[in-house]
Amino acid sequence: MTESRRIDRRLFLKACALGSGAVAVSASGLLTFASLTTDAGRREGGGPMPRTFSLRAREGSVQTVDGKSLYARGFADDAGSMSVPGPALWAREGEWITIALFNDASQEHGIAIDGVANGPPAPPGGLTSVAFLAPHAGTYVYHDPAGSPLNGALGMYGALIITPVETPDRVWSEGPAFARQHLQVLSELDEGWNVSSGLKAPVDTGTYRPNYFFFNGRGFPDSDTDPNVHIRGSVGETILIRWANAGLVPHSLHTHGYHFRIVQRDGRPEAAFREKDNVPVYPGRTIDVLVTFDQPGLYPIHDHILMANTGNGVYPQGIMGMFEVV
Amino acid sequence: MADRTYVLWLRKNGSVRMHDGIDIGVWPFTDSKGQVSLFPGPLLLSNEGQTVQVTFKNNMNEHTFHFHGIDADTPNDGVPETYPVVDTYTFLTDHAGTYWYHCHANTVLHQQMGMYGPFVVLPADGSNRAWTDGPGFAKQYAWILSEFDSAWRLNNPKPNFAYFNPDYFLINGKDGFDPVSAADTAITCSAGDTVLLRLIHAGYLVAQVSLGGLPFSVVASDGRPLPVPESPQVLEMASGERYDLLLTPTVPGTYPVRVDYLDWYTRAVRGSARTTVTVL
Repeated sequence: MTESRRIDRRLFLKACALGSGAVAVSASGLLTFASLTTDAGRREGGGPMPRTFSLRAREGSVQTVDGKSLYARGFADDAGSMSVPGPALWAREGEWITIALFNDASQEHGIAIDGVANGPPAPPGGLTSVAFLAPHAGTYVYHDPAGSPLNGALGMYGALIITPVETPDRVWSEGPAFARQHLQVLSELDEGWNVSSGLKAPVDTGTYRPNYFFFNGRGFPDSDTDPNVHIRGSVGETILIRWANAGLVPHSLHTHGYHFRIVQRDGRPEAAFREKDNVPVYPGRTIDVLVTFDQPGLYPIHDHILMANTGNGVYPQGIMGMFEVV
Repeated sequence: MADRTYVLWLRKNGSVRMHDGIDIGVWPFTDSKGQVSLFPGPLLLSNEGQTVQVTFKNNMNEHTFHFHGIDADTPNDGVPETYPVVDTYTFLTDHAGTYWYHCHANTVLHQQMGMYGPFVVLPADGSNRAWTDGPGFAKQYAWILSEFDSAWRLNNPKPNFAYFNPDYFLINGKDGFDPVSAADTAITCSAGDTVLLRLIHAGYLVAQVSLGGLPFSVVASDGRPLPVPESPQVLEMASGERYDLLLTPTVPGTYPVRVDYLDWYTRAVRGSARTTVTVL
């Protein structure tokens, strides 16, 4: 463990040394959206700014809305414990992103962003990394390509968000503007897969019967304390919601109170914005929508594949959030 | 005063006969007199710009109406988690297009039990156009897509609503296993006529709709015109979505319509509903 942490730190420092030193990093090496708005857009002398993340693959547990503690696998930041989903990674268009992954778990794990980067898996105790030029502004899913689809279903996923360099309040550099943005990662789990994996028993991944469903890793009403799930706002505001489906099945999101405009899919702008109140988000895919609050009230936002609006069959749990607009 | 008023009753002892002779329990709405059970529920209509009032006659504080896509305010939205259950709902219908209504109390079960029906907002002048000043048509049809899981109607064993294993696949509440049994969903038109087909997904599995090779244009979804119409061979839609299709068949014949319902995980076809388009 000590040895591996040292290697991890060395790689991290090396990546930082590539830059001007202006990158604001937390102790863990993770950047928050707030830090993106303050540091310089480009490295002096040209070339992409480096942006380095340090993650760890770990085993742990997740808590269900009805009080079960289930074996899980997930990503942690360098300082923290495993979380499902893993830390949200924020970076800017055109930056040179390095994600170092140290494997603290007892199986091999890697990290990939489909269509963007795919790193080789690291053995237990080992290190792997991916490095890539930040793709087009938008929302992406990162996940463990090793042991697919089992590791993904056990919690090894998160979101990568790329913002425009100069205009972080726009969907892309010349794109539509928003007052605030909210990330909603969709996922689910099949309790049987988690229990078997915790017992080191084989899992038949040909059959997947999910029974717990998540917005940012929690089911309603547990998720209601998450300000990205219970969204507060004022009449007249336009907000951006980033839907990232990190699960293995489609989720069909319906908003009450307001239609939304689909502005981006999978990190690519829509040529024309469809106005809808219900849209499926397929596994591994992302959809970014603008919502303009044109009336006050309290309105659900939920999966209309209604099995997923339950926790182990109990309604209303699972994938459900709220707009609370004054 | 509302421009349109509707009264609905609920019966919790209905059933629908499937192609194999099995009767499946449903909770149907009725006509405005509370006499004739209708599954799916009755078609509710309004014109763009009109205010609509719908009253639930025998609610018994158990059920709600959610007018899906209407964007009603919170007191008229029909969600018990956000507002106490009421019997009368009033709202403005300010966008022509295709909507639906369903119970939003214990939705996972009550929707599966059939508490839903179509809601169509016509153009402001009530004309045969897809929306105000939109493309015209000669005839229109609405198809509600859904499935039945007979095991969800059992008390022993008690169903777990996370697990949906439908055994019947429907168009407008009719078992679509046999296109003859689904005859009253069939489209009949004259060659050269333009038909508006309103698709509403009230089921839980992703559905793929094809019209026997007849080309169609998708012109609207969820009560809004598409910025750019599309002409896919197969239209895929998910729970809660609506799509409005225009078709203008020119060659007489009978075309087999197929709605495939896909497994949530594997996307294998779990079952199909069939009907026809007959061009005279």
